[in-house]
Amino acid sequence: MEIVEEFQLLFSERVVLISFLLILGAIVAQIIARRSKRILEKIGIPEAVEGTSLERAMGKMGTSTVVMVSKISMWLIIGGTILLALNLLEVNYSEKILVITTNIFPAIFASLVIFLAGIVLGDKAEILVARSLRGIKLSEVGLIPKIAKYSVIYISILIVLGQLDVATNALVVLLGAYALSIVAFSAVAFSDMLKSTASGLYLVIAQPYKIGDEIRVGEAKGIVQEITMLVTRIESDEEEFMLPNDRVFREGVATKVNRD
Amino acid sequence: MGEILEMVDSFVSEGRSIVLFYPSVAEYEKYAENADRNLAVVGSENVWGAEKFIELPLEFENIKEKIRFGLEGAIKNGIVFDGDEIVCIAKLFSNELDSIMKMRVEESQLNSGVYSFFLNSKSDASVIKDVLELVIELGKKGQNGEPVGALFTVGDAGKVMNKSCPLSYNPFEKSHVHVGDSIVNVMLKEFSRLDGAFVISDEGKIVSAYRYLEASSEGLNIPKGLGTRHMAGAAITKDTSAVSIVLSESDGLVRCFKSGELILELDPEAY
Repeated sequence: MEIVEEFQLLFSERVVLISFLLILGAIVAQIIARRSKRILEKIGIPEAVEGTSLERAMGKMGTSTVVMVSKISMWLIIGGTILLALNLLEVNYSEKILVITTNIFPAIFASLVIFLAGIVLGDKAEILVARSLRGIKLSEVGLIPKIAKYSVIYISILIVLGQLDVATNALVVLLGAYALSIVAFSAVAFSDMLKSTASGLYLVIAQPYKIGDEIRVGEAKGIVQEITMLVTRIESDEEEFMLPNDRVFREGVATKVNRD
Repeated sequence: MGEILEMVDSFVSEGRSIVLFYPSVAEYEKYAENADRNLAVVGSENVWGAEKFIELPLEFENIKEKIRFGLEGAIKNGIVFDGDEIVCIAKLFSNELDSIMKMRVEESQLNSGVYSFFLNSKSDASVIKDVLELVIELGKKGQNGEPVGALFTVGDAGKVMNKSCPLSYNPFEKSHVHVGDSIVNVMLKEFSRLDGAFVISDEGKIVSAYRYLEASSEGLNIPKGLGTRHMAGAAITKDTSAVSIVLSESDGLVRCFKSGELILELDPEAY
């Protein structure tokens, strides 16, 4: 009889403890969700994600990226407290499940956040590239921002899969081949620009001529208007020349000699 | 915000052009969604991907100026025409679109030249904007509270250099400072001590300080009562394709010149 009573006492104590724990968990989760929302807002996440397709999709569902992320962290905490409560109740589940849940839970959370960040960054990359190409009205140009976007998302998916311990070797090799092809392609396509930039570096450091000087490079003769890394712009009375810097380097510059 | 949109529908008959002034992306999308009419946006950068976009590099505080210069750009871009009846939606009190104005476009009243001062000059609009902001900042701060004067020429630096001579050693020789750089704000105080003109290149490089501008002031038509600094600033824009931005020491106003004419007059305190 005594044993049963003691058991009941213990059990009720435990029930009180557990319900207290659950309530505490819910409150902490709420506070953390609100805090993280405020922190995310303070570091300027809403401005950073404005205009991305994820934010737009969230907006259609009546929420926003920031709310979503703070909700995820809230559910994570609530899930954790429920786990803890089950543990206290000594529900009969095997050790294995416990290990799996404690190991996989954070991994899933991390990969979710990384995935969301990847999508946002991809969108951001698309917007940035598209903005820098804004002036060009060419239908083919629309492809470049898309490529930038999906490259970023691909990398984020790789990281996510790595988090979840999925074998990603083949995908990494694919990424390597892709990166290599970009390097090879741009080395060929931009060789002239690279040459000009190298020459431009010298011109900017040594300054053999400056803005306002009258110079002659090959046939072109005029007053220097601008010296950039890629080109030197000179202007005569009738014409304005844009000289690639490697040409300045190859053909040499004639400047006026000051004989005072 | 939603109510304003409904108001527009009840207020505006079909087929009128609507001009939005500095909307947020969400606001623009709401209008773009259910408007099959002529919709144009005025802003500093086309973040909306709007088809009809009018670039106004400086966000004017004064709503009247904002609308005037925005509409001037709209006329120049062929988006609205003289005599059109249009609807402007802008922010007046709050930080979102809150007011509707219906007006008739009068080209003769909108010909200040401010739009072409920024967009059709030799140098980039962003460079002119940077310099203008710098001068406004200089006008606000002054030197230890004392008003200072300054003269900046922007663009066509090669010609300006050949039409001027040095007053002293050029502190910017062999330097690579651009007006948009953050270091410029630190150097601001030093700037106000230098006499003569600052010469800025097309792409914003500070080419020289201490320049004495030697352009001829013959046939110049600027308001009487402005000093020698303004005269020199206006004259150089007549002889070259540069524009000049002048901060007056006596009345503290910022004035912009192009092709020898006074284009814009701003009070730095209003920004």
